[in-house]
Parts: sequence; structure tokens; C-alpha cells
Amino acid sequence: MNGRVGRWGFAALVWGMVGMMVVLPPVMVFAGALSHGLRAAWDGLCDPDALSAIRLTLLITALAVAINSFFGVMAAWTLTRFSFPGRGLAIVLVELPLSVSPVVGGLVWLLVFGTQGWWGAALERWGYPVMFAPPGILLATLFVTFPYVTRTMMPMLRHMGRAQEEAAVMLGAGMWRVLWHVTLPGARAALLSGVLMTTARAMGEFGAVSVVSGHIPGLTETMPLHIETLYNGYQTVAAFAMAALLALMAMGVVAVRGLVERTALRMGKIA
Amino acid sequence: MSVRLEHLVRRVGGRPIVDDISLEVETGSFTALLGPSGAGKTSLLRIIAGLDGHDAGCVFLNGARVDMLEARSRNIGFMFQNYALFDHMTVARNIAFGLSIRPRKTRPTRAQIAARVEELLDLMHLPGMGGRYPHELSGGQRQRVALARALATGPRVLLLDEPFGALDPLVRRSIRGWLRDVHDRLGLTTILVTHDRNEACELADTIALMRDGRIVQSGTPQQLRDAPATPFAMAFMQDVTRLPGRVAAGLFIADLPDMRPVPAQGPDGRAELLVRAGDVRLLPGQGAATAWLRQTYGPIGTFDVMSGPDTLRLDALIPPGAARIVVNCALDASAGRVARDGQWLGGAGDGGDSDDNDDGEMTDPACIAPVVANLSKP
Repeated sequence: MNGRVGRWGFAALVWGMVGMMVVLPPVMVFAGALSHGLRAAWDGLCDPDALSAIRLTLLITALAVAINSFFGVMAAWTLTRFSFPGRGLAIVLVELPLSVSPVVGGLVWLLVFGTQGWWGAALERWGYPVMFAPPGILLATLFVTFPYVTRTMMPMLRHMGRAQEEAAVMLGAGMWRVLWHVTLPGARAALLSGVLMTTARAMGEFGAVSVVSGHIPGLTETMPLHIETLYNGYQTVAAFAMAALLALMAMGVVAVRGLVERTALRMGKIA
Repeated sequence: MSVRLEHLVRRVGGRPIVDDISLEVETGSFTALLGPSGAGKTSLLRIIAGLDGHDAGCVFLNGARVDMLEARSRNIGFMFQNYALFDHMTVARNIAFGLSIRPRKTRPTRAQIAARVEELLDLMHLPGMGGRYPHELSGGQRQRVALARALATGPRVLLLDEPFGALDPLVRRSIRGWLRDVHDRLGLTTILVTHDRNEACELADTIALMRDGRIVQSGTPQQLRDAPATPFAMAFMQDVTRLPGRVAAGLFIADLPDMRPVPAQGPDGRAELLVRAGDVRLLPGQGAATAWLRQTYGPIGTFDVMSGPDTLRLDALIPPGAARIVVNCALDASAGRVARDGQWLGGAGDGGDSDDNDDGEMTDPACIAPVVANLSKP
């Protein structure tokens, strides 16, 4: 009887916490977005600056995911398959963006590519500005999202071991074929999970992007930055509408990830 | 396709794990690399395959040097210890892999590949399994898929790394016979790595016994049993008891007081006598030892022998008409071999089976040998 009460007590506590910390905010966001009706929210999203922010976010996300998936896979493969001097250090460094504040990540790029930085002035003179332009935003996003694919792939590759790859080599496969036909399909659940985490993070990144973007509405504002601008400009409904859209996109990504993992589990691919 | 290894060396962290190995494997032969774990068997196999490099020496396939050739270009079939099937592919795609990744010029057509897969599935007694995934198969079936995959590209050399380790004993027995059958039928040259002497004896024509990165002895199973090159070879190939003692004036005198002295060449000093089950006879009424019979296997029994202050457990021929307790007996082990510091005393291979029994009335050793051989099998 006592144990049962305790169990219900803990369950209630967990639900209380989750409800307050996780469920309440999105609900409030959606409530705020729809407080003046669906029409007002829709109009907020159809504003040219808002559309530009959505486009920029989608573009940056797509590029960041593509680039970091490729480099993440290569990094994970290299770090698990080969031993070389400084390998341990490299593994720690890959994780660095997870622990360093995104603002610091943004500042680093500013120092390198800013007009006061090493190459910034030269690049700007040649007509390829990096800071306060989409390339800078991409760089900042790449920095913060770099660890995800590598981090999810590495345990999976370690678990798979080398035997399947060696079997493929003995059957006549070269390195790229091994990677493409054996390694990646074998670790596809981990890869997808990493890609989706990268996607979610790339869409929502604020800190690093904020430092390098320059907040030029219609040009260098991504969705999170645009939300801040709208909110600071007292356009509450538009801000909440944009926030709701961003939240929906993130939830979609999380849902896909859950689905993928469930399928993988059912097929017995994740041990 | 013959395989020849010349003075192969592989060092890991400065320590040689393959230490100056030379070996000749003839076309069509089935050779076992046998030895305890850590002997360098798998390392040697991986060097032949090209999966691991070597620091010195050469590998020849059919007389052509291949050790500068990449593993993927050697066309050697390799079966891994845990089969290493591609989990995300069906059985058919696993088997077809080697053919389907060939460059377009040499790649067979889809129909040809499918026909080859069917042919292999039949050969492996796996009809209709092509659509399954590896995790839906039993251990024995997985092993056969792995073998089919290794054979699909038509290699002439097949390397097997502990292929039976993950199977239960019953399946193991049946698969051994069948594997040998496949080897003979396809005319392969096969090299098998195992630490199980029964497996090696049952399957292989030639055994290369390895220890600490070196080949201790190579020969037919019969040769290794009858003329072991070292005490280690004898102890690894058969169940032996080691009796401590010393050599004095050309005789081995066991620490056990009732053991008859055995002729031994070599300088005086500590030594030991290695005896197999059939090598020891109890001589009732000729000594002061007492022997209790504990277990019986045909003509051989396990005895607890009390002699002086010591009790020793050893296998010996059961004297005709003996009771469960044999009193006042002496032990004759003149068929044993005397060793010191891991070497035979007085040259390799003598002092054993060539000796005839003095009394002549005992069972002929030739008749005992198969019994001993059977005993060592599970």
C-alpha cells in the first residue's frame, strides 16, 4: 500500500516537472500565437522579412546538415578505425562545441573573419563578406552542430567492429565501397539520429548566429533572430507565430527521430 | 593454389607475434594452424589474407609473390570467427556482394549473379533462405552463409578463422564433415585456424602446431601424435601426465619410489617423464604402491596411485583380472619420453613407441593407440 502511494507520488512529481518545464512553454507559445486568431498569426508569417528568415533558416540548416553529416561520418570513421598520435585529444576536441558557449563560438569566427580579423578585410574587399552575411551564419552553425553526427556514430561504429568491413575488403571492395555499402548502412540508425539532432540544433541556434549575423532584417536574420527582433519591437503575435512554427518544425524532427529509433529497435539493429 | 610463407615476421609493440614462420601449403591440401590462444595463428592467417601487414618475409600464392598486393586484390576467401555477415542485407545479397561490387567490365549480369547465389545456397544446404536476414538464422546457418559468401567469387584459397567456436557441439560435429566435403568437392586449398586438436585432426591433412609465434612442428596428425617434436607438442596433441624425477647414469628415476627406472640419454640432473594413458602399466606384486581404480575407459583406467608419501592420479592400462584396488604394485612407464627444459633428452622422438614391451604379453601398442585417440575426443 505504502509502495503504491510512493509510486504514484513520484509519478505525479515527474509529470508536474515535465508539465511545467516542457509542456507549458510550447502550449503558451501556441496560445500566444493564436491569441488574436489564426488569421493574425498567418499574416505575421507572411511578412516579407519573416519569409526571408524562414528561407534563410531552411537554407542554413540544409547546408549545415549536409556538410556536417559528411565530415561527421568521416571524423567518426577515422577516430574509431585508425589509431594515430593525438587521437584521444581529437575525440575531446570534437565534443568541445557541446561545452563551449555558442556565443564564444560565434566570437571566434568574428575574430577570424571580421573586418578587424585576419582575413575579413581582404575578403570584404574582394566582395565576399563573411561576417554579417549568410556565410558567417553558416560557419557559426557548423561550429555548434559539428559534434552530433560524430558523437552518435562513434559508439555504433565501435559496436559494429571491423569484421564486416574486413569481410567486404576480402570480397574485393575498396574503401569507398566499404563505407557506402557496409559501414553506413550498418550504422544508419545512428547516422539518422545524428543528422536529425544536427537539424534540430541548426534550426534553433541563436547564440553563435547572433554574434555573426548583424541582425539585418530580410537579409541575415534567421528564424530565432527574427523572433527576438519581433518581440523587442512589441509585435507579440508575429513573434509567437514565428516561435510556434519553429517549435513545430523542431517537434517534427524529434518525432521522426523517435520513429526511426523505434523502427531500428524493432529490427534488432541497435544492440 | 599453393601457399608458401617464407620467414614471416610481424611485431606488435616490439614483440614478435609472428616470429620467422615458413610454411608450405600444397594445392588442394587442408592445413590446420593449431595452438593455444596467443600463439599467433590468427595473426598469421590475417597476414596471408593481407588484412594485417608484416615486418619481414614473403607470402607466395602459386609461386607468385603477393604480399605487396592489397587484400582486396588477392581473391582469397576468408571466413571470420563470428562470420561478419552484413546484418542489413538479406542472405542472397550477402552472398552476391563480392560479385555485385565488381567493376562493370568483369561484373556478371544480374541473372548470372542470382543463379550463382542459388547454386551456392544449394551447395550449403540452405535452399529458399535467400530472402532472410542474418539475425533470423541459426548459428550453423549463419556459418554456411558466411562460407557461401566467401566462395561466391570463386577463390582458390580459403582461410577459416576459428569457424566452429560459436557453435554448439552437436552442430559442430556435423558441420566439420560437411566442410571437409565442400573442400574436397571444390578442390580448394584451405587453411584453418583452431585451438581444438580434435577439430584439427579430424579435418586437416597437415597440422602446423604453433606456440609463441613459431611453428613447433608440422606434419600429418599421425606424425604429430607418434613423434612429437617437443614435450609441448606431445602435451598439446594428447592427454599426458608429467612425472617429475631425475636422470642419473643413463636412467630416469622418478620421484615416485615404485616407478621402474627408464633408460634415458643425457647429462644427469632434474628431468620429467611424459606418459600417455597407454604408456603406464601396473605390475602387481612387484612393488609397494597401492592403486585405486577411479574410472574406466575400455582397457585404460584412471588410478590414484599411492607410492611412498605421494599420491598421484594417472591413466594406466588396467592389469588383466585386477580388482578395484591393486596393492603392492610397481609402475612401468618405459614407453614414456624423458624431457628437460621443454626439450627431449637424448635427441627428439626416441625412447617412445619404438620400444617393445619387455614381457610381450601386454596389449600391442598399435591396438591401444586408436583407443587413446578416441579417449581424447569428447
